[in-house]
Amino acid sequence: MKTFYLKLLTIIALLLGIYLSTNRYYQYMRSKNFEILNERQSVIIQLPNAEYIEIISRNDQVTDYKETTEKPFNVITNIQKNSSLENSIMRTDLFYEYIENRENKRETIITPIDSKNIDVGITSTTAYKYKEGLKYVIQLDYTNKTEFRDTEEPGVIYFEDKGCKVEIYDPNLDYSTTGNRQTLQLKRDYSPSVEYNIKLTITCKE
Amino acid sequence: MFDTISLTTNIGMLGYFIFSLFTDGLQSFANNYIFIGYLIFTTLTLPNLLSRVIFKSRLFGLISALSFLYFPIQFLLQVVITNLTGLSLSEILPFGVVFNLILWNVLFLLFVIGDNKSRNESEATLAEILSGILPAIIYLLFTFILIRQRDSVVALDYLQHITVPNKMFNNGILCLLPGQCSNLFLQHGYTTFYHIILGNLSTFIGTDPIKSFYVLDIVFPLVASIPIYLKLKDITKSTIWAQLGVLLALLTFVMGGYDFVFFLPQTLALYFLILILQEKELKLPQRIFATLLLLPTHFIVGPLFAGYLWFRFLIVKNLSNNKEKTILLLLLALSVLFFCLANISGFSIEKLLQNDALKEVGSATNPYYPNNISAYIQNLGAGWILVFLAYISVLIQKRKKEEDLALLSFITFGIIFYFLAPTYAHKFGIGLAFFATVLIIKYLWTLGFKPMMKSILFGLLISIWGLNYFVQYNRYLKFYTQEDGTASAIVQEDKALIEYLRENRLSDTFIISDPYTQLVVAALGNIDTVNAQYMPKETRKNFLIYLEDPNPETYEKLLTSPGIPGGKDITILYSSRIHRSIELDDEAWIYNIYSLPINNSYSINEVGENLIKDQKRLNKDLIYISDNFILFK
Repeated sequence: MKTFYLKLLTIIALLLGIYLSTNRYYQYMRSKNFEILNERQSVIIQLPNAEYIEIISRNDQVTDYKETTEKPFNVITNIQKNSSLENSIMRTDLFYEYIENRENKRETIITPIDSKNIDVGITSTTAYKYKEGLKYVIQLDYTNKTEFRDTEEPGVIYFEDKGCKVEIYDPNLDYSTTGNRQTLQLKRDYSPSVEYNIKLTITCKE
Repeated sequence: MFDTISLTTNIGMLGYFIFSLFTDGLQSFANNYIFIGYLIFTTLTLPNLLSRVIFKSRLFGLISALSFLYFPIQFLLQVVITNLTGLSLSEILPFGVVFNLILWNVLFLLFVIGDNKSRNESEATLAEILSGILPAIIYLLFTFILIRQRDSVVALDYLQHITVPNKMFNNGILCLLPGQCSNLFLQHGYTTFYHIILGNLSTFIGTDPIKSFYVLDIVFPLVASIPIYLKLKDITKSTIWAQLGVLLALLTFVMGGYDFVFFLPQTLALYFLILILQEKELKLPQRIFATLLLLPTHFIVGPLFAGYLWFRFLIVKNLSNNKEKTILLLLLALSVLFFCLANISGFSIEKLLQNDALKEVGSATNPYYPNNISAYIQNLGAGWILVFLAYISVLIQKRKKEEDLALLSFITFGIIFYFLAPTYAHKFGIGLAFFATVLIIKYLWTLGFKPMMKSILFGLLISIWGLNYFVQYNRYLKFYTQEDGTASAIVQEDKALIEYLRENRLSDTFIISDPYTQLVVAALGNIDTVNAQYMPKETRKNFLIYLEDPNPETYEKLLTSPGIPGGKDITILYSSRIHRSIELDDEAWIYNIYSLPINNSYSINEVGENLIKDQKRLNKDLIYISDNFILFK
């Protein structure tokens, strides 16, 4: 009887195993809608329409939109990328960028979930004096002019360009766009440690 | 029949070599894949024949593992001969390799003929060996058609390790630790035992190192498949289950451990362990000899394996009743849980006790929660579910077997050390491919599936392992994938440099370049560099500062940087990698010792006037090697 249950469990485990392995294989082959380039001093999400979204630490701002505007990572004193790290350091599925400008530190972890969805996590630790209305701002720059539109879904904005639709979900959405119609600025109330957990959904026509 | 097949194949090989000798000359052997493969196979299996024919022991067992000591002993004898005759090691060592080839053939003949005279044991043994190799051939077809590119070298470790036999051969140096021969080893992780074997596989006879590394990745799993098969056959008494086990073990890509994927000091130690485990019971002197063999092979993995053998003897073997065995099993599970939780809560040896090492590297060497858990799970993928079921099955068994407890103990040790997270903890995944596979095969075999179900089961298992292996291997190759899609540590543009260094010997000089180029120079040009890929961070920074602002002051600072030897001539090799870094302001490589940009295609259109001027001050002229390399000599 014991053997029967173990056999049954084994078969279930193998079917589950096939599902998980196939899923992992498809996750690996997820380059259908985007490709992530983690080189030099930015992270680039390349879309199949020949345009790309760039997230660059140099554009981060701490601003009150009046008299104070600081760029905490205008100068870089240390940068780490997992794309050029030799395999002695373990490989994981994610793309990692660590930037340092003396006491200011910024960590970006980009995790492709499947062929459409990407999780972007940014944690920035900076040391500025708190002020009323002070904001921390990161930028998502798109290479073409476009319109960022709201949806009915809370926390979601999107843009469409050359057959691709990119939805940006930020649970604490507070944003603005710049006059050049290429930049989306995501804001947070300033604190010494600011966290972003954004989800990008990229859908492109075949 | 198998005797005849083996003998005929071998005679055919020898005939082909004689034919090649007359048609293409002796030099052609350096690039001949068949010769390189034959050389590697015979070298790696010579200890087995020594064990069987000379020591009248098992073909695969403890004595065959100990017979690997033949290589260092032979090397020492050759050193003695050079001292007595005044000849150089580079003149003597090739004869040693040729002698080994002849010895292998003599022993093989004696093995077949000698056994034929008695009980014709070789016939059965060779049939078993061929049965074991069969799944390895399927594995090789899968790997080398779908994943690997021809002549690809996908482990920088090979380039690093080859510098040791190169130094032994070219400079006639005898060294016990690799660091005594080459400045590429910042820590002592092993003796030169492995390096002498590696020298016999390539350097000592002058075969092309790139081709040798490529063929080694084919032959090593082939050789390793035999003891894996024999162990599984011994457990299951079934050829098909054992063959399936071999295939699954080979299709397990352990990130950092590389069980049967690459021939490295740690995987050589694992191979020894598998040979040792062929013995049904290890007596005290045997265990001592096994320990003495494993320790110098690898100073971290060796003690782990030796500790495992002693744990089996001192603990597992002495558990007399089922209750005690259950307690051990529960303790194993609790240990995994405890160390996993400790890691999640932030405990890590590298962060707590190895701060200096981390400073030297420039970052942590291990991933942390939750990435570390997912990375470890991915080594075996869905196979972990079966490990868990096997554990449950052993736990509920009324008569628990010692072998099951030992297998589970090994897997647990690996997990514990991984979660303790000393530097490079992922190396403790080593052995997972073998131990988890044996455990799973043993578990599935005991369930006694009917033939129809068994074939479905086999299909599912191979698919699960195959998919996971494919993804793991390709993810690993990401670092080695160049701009043009080539996945290899050898970059096309670097070949011009290798050619130049072979034609123009730069004696008594020290080359300084970017870390990746330095590794290529040290490994394939046999020229000293500033710790090659492990160029210290401070030196990287000072080098870049000098290149951007060349003047006597920055040059002086460079000369006094770590790793730069005093009183030696320093030659700057300006590469596309450096040029790109300066032009594009891409400086990641100066902050982490493992940050190595692989591509070298960014054309050097112009070198700074100031650099040329300052090098002129030092009487160094500019030599264009190619579009990608400029040497200041």
